[in-house]
Amino acid sequence: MAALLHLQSSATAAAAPSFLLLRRRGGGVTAPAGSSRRRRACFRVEAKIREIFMPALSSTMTEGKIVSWTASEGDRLAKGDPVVVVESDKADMDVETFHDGFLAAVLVPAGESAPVGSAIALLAESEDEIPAAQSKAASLSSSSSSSPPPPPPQESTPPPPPPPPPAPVAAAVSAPAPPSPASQGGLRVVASPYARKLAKDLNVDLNSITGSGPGGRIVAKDVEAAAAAPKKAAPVAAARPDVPLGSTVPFTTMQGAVSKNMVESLAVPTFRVGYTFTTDALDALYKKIKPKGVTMSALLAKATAMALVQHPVINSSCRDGKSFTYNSSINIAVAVAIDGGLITPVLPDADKLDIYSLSRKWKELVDKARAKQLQPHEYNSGTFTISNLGMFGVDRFDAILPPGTGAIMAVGSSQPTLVGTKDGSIGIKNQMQVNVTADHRVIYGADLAAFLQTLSKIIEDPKDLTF
Amino acid sequence: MATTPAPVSLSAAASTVPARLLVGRGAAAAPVARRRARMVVVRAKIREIFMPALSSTMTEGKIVSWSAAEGDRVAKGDAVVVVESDKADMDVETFHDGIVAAVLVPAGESAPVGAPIALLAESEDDLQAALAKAQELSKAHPQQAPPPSDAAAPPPPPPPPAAAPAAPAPVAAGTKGIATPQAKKLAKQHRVDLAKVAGTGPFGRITPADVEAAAGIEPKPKVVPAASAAPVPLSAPAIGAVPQAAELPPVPGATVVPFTGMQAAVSKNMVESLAVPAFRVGYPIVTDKLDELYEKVKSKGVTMTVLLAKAAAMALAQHPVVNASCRDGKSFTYNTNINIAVAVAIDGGLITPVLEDADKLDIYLLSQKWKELVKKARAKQLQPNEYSSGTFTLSNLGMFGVDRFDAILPPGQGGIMAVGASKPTVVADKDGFFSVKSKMLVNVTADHRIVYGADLAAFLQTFAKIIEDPESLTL
Repeated sequence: MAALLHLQSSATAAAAPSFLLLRRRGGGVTAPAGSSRRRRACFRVEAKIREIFMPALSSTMTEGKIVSWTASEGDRLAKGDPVVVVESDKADMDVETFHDGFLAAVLVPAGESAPVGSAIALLAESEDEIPAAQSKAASLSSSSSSSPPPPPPQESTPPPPPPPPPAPVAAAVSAPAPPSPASQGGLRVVASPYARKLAKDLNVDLNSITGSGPGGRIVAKDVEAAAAAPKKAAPVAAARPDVPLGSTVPFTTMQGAVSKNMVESLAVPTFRVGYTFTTDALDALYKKIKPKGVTMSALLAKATAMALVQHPVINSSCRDGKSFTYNSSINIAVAVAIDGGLITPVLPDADKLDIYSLSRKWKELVDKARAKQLQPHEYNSGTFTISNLGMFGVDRFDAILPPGTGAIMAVGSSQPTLVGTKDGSIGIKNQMQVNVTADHRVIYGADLAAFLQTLSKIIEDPKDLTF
Repeated sequence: MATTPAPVSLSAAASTVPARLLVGRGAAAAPVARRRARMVVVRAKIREIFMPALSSTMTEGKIVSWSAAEGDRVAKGDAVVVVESDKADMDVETFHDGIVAAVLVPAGESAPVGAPIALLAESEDDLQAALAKAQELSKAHPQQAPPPSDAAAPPPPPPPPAAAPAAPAPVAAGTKGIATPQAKKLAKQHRVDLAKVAGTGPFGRITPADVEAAAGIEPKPKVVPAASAAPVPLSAPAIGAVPQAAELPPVPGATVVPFTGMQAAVSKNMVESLAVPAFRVGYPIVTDKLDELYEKVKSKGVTMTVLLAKAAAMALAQHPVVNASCRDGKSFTYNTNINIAVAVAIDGGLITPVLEDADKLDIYLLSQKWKELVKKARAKQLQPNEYSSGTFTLSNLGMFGVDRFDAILPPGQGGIMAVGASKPTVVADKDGFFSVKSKMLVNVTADHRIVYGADLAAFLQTFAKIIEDPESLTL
């Protein structure tokens, strides 16, 4: 029902140098690998319509869920502009367009999922191609509707291509300014795709709504407000801060990834070694350098990395059941609980950086993690993992070994403890218990015990941590 | 060099019987009786040296080095090759005198158990025939690792002698002896008559698969339930019950080091343990008196390991279910012996030498035995029975200052005890007084198919009493 309107601000024609380079595409929904496309010279002029594909944001991602569309249909885009936010199995990612053009058609609306490599939008090179793109979108949707897949799309029907390197993504800095003359004119309704969907679901006329989004765009909130006001149907748009008991709640993508990793760990034979550290000296050091931004997580990561340098087999992993993989760098992953999930930001080369740089890096990573903006290499490149539940007063615990690593250390809280010495005297020391879980295919008991002995010496005499 | 061919006579002729290999230095194997059939035609004496089965789980072996070279004359009992088994490097001896005519598998390569790895000629006159046979073998198996089930060209049957008393007798006699050591062992276990089994291996040799097929097909009702009840008698249940570890993509910049034979065996055992439902019970034990005893007997060569092993064995004598094992998922196997295996970290690996009958021997004899075993372990010369006959395992990381740990239960055992360090600890008594005592934490992992929580707890209570009042250890 959206009327087509030529935007007043754009009147440029297609670039002349690419006039003769045309691309011919077959019918139906095909999934070409990555963004590689063949161009053939042809005398017949054909419309420049490109597809935007669902990117592979990590090596394990097979499908992605569209969180929201940053650009809306009809928007003019420049190369590098973010057009869509996709939820990967670890974080929400902004996806950029590789080409200039007009967003002619959105094929997969916000809230739905699509397999990696499938087309999610069409990009027209100029305004003249918009009707052709929309008719192509109609044909795509009609061909896909002829055999409608079930709500979770069958992954065997479009075979996922071998995962290409993840598309370069950048943090969203600015939202593109929509054309305000259009909304002021009232001839074309400017609304986000989600708002359009909600309006359809709730039987709301978009023409009667005043948009509160950027540049006057109608957003989901506006539609919900309009639906609630006249019909007094506030319960329809019930939020979900609390989960109603007795219901089944599907995993989010992140929760699904955590569950998958935990199940995979069942195939790895593990054992655990527990050790007690006296932390009086470490606590004293922490008090001194805390004003400089150093965190206890960074201190533990630094100490662990220094011990791993001396015991490289603890930093190794078993990937094929037949060999050791000795990692060339020491990357400490630290488990962080964030709203609705669990993620492990990675401090790379923790043995080489000083404690202050590590702390700054850690602060950056935690901020990104909470904002769901970690890059894949920032959470899946860990070679050793630390999990700390000390802040809850936990005595000791054991953690599940993530796939692809050799060991994980569970850290309990440091507590004043009654301690005896050989001569029979009794005193109080701050002590914490750590418990390391290791892969027994590559790490043996003596290896792990020797590593913990080294780590104990570093923590109990922590002056080396500040070098 | 002068050659002295044996005089040709009917009574001296013998059929070609494959050579048997004596495993290990000084270990005695029962000699295999051979039948000699009279034949008119004298045939060349060429024997094959086969890849031995150095343990019940070994399916192929890697040749570390050849002790003898081609052309060397070897005597019966001489070591000819060093083979890497899944636990140690083993010297392999020849069962016969002769000349090493051809090496079929060079050092550094692997061959399946039962496959020929060298040819032995009885005299120099037979060298040419042996070399020709070696070429024939290499043509038949260009990859030099023939699959056991591959049927190679059979040797030409001996022509029937004119004065032979029974025509089929030589064929039957020849067939009976041609079987791999593993097949012979399986046949003995399943009571299969090798004479009735048709071999599918190279040269018609009977392979373990043939024996298993024969045992499975056996129509006698008495044998069939036994065969089906124990298809794989000595191994843990199939690991198909647990999810397989995914092969993960390689890490860029990382160094990949393949497992040695020993490391692969450790990894395989650890993965097999995933199929066993195990639980753990921890117990604190005061060790002041044990430490005192250790100081007394230390000068006599007694080690702390031996004291712990002796205490464990004495407790196991009172709790035999913890010394039992579950091999088929349907029954207890109560062991007649108490054999304490002790985990030892050696360069690049992990091995568990076994103190046999630890409940019957005194601590001084046990310590002598332990010293011998450790020496052999470090030299990679343990015999299979010295590392695979354990009924209960002890693992001690106390020397590293470890608080406590849990160890993975080896397949085929009922329990493993993980011993932590003994540390001065503040102890409160019922009267409200503090004192300092040395205390260690032990953690036993057990197979919950046969050992229940109360069994293990009672065993640990007994063990703690023995340790805390250790005078009985010296009896």
